Amino acid sequence: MKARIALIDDDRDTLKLLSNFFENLDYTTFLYEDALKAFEDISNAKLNCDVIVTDFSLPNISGIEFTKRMKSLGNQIPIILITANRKVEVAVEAIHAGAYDFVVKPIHFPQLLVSVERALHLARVEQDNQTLKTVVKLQEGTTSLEGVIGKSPGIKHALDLARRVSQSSSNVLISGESGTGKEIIAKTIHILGPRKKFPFIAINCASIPENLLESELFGHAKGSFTGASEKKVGLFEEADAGTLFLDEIGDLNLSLQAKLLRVLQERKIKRIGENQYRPIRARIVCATHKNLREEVEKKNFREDLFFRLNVIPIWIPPLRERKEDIIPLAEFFLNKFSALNNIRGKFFSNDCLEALIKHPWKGNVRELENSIERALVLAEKDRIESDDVIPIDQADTRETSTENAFDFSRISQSRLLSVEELINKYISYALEINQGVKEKTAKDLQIDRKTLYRRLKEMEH
Amino acid sequence: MSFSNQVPHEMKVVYIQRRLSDFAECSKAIATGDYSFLEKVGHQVKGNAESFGFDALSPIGIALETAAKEKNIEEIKKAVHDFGTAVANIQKTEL
Ligand SMILES: Nc1ncnc2c1ncn2[C@@H]1O[C@H](COP(=O)(O)OP(=O)(O)O)[C@@H](O)[C@H]1O
Ligand SMILES: [Mg+2]
Repeated sequence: MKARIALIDDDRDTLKLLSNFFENLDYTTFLYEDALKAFEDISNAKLNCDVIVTDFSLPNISGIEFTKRMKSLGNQIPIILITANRKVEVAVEAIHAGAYDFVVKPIHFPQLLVSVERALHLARVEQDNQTLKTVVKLQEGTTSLEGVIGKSPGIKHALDLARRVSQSSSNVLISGESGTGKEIIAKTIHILGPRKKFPFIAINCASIPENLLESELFGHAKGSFTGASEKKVGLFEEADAGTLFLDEIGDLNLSLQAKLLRVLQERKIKRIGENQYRPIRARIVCATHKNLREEVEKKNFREDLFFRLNVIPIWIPPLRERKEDIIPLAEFFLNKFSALNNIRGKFFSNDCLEALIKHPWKGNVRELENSIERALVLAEKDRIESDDVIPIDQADTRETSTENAFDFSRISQSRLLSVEELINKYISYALEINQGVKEKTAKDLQIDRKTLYRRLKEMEH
Repeated sequence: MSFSNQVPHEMKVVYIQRRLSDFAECSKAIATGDYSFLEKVGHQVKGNAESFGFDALSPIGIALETAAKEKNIEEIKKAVHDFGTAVANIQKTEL
């Protein structure tokens, strides 16, 4: 499924450069020197694309004007504006016109790519939200839900909690590494409860510029600041009696933390630039990959807010700590993508299954899902082998990783490790668990940081 | 790593060839007093040179655009001269 990008720029050289860049990455591009023409093609359904990248200053209608017209049609295609102007007001104007993001010239391609991929991801998440409703069904008498796979105690416990809290309105805080399934659990809570008739709205607090997040959440009155040319209903209101999922809540700045706390206490909000309070009905579910308790200690996160959010904590363990889920998930994704791609008869070799279990899956279920989708499409034979799923270059890190894994039974009995060696091994293991964060590692191991640094230095030799 | 390091060579070549023809047109525009053409060339170079990895051209584009806006013929001549020199230099040494 190639993504389709419309590119709009009156400068033909830039247009060619953009198109060359994206075509090389296997996107399909459609080029326009005139935004008006692009607008016509899209509104007449002559052009069907997934994301639009447009220049800001254009001859007929500007990039902003184009964005406004698209939004006034109710068009949902994400638009990314490229501007030569670094002023904040321009950015604010762009976002308030309804642009998904803006990128400053000279074009920094990796940054543009990140923005495009995020926009595509967002569009997909919104689609998933619609399809998920048909997938997640409660199976009577069990805690397992179709569509959320797993038999490990960790995931069963999370699902069980999700099912029970779905009937209440308490605040829920879901934590776990990226890709472990926080969002899918949040949706499950939504769908199993009485709120399922109302919207499920997800917003990633880390991916939106801080100054814009507030008006996203709270909305604003017309003319309340430069660029606020229309009034805007915030997400607290838009979620209605549904669920507002605040992802990466650990990245919320302190001033918004204070505002969120008030919302949770008073269950009412004020749009920016208004004096009138409006009641809210939405349930708030938050998620984070950070350890919020620690963020509280470091004074990055308000303690009072933490307690208020953490009424019902749900923790999803990383996939490497619930290896019994790997095969069921792998089979599930194999079936899902086989059906989606009209592929029949593919299966995993025994070696492959073993390799799947051994792999550390640092990107958790998301990484597993992506690997299987790719393997399915790329594998030439019906039997999928381990190197179809886990590329050779990653298989090397897999070796060192399992090597690192702290498992006494793996230590060679013919040559026992010295205590020194064991300490070093354990330190590497702890460091890996903490994703390389030395401070946290030192703290967990109850040694001081200097000792840790010295050890690590020694280990290099 | 920025994409400008990876801009395909042939795209860079075409880009510079087009700037050379811009340069020729600019010289004509000076003679006819076509300030809006000069401004347009300056504006475009300002906007796209760095994306192609030719950072040195971008200040020249700015200078040309500004001078053309002000109809300052001395500054225009200087900017166009710098532009031609820089483009020729890139063609000789970088491509
Ligand atoms: N237990 C599960 N069963 C089925 N799919 C899952 C499960 N956990 C995660 N996924 C899938 O893995 C991907 C990442 O999950 P997501 O909920 O977005 O993770 P997170 O929000 O923690 O980063 C999604 O495509 C999701 O559908
Ligand atoms: Mg997520």
